[in-house]
Amino acid sequence: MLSCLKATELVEKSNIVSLSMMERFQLRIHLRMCDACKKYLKQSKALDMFTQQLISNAKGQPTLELSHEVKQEIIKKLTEQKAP
Amino acid sequence: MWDKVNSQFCIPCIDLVKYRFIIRFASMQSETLESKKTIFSDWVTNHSDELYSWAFYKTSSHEIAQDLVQDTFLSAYKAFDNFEGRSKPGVWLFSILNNKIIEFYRTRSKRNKRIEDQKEINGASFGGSQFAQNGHWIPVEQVAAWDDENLLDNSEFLKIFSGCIEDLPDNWRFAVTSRYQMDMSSDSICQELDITPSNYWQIIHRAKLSLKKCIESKW
Repeated sequence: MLSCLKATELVEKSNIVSLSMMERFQLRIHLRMCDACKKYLKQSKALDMFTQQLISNAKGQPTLELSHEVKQEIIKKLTEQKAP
Repeated sequence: MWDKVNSQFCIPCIDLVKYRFIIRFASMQSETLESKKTIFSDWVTNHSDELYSWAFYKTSSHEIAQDLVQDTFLSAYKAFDNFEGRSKPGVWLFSILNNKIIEFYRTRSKRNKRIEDQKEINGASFGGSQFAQNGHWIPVEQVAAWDDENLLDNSEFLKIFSGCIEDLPDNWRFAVTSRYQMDMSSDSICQELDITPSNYWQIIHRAKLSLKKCIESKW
């Protein structure tokens, strides 16, 4: 019997490579019996969904602004540079 | 410097474009340090916001984005002599920034891998604390459900989630976000992070466990 740690790892593995027949079988049995891991499966998909949403929001976002202080600090650092 | 420029100048069949660059290059060289500083403070004023936004988009961290922008300008300042006016300053700065971003992930991934190995030895991995010794979930108090599609439009939730993402170790964050950010394939993500596919899903696994934990404690 798979541990939950191993089962949730297989859930992530299955998103990236295909599982072996044995792994698929073990995972299916585990998920049938374990509600917490079944929940993890759902949550894992939700996390992907939120990440995707966050990134597409960021794409549409107006340009971020670097604060005036930080800009001044960069300029200060540059002017302290020695001549090459 | 002048020798180099003059020798180029003497070649009889210089095409006009090259000629223009040489003149421009030469005039840049003769400019005083003061005017180089003026150019750079102009650049910082005019380009740092776009650079910062891009760096944030690629790293999901304000702090790191800020450092990368600063490094970009420092490198640009040092390499100013190589900037021959062939491209627009913005384009040039962006190409430096992109190299900085790649370099950042490369070094972080190597460093984190060493820390990971150490953690592995100590038997205490980040998200693993949600499991008991036997690998089964440690029972937690009932938490509010958060795996609901409706939360996609909930700006408060997304803000918390964004904070959780930002708290992840850098290469975990990269592993989780790069798939959507740059439409990278698993292969190229592994290559970028210098890890094997099995490292990759282990990282995703841990990252998701810590995101889960983070959401459940904050939402």
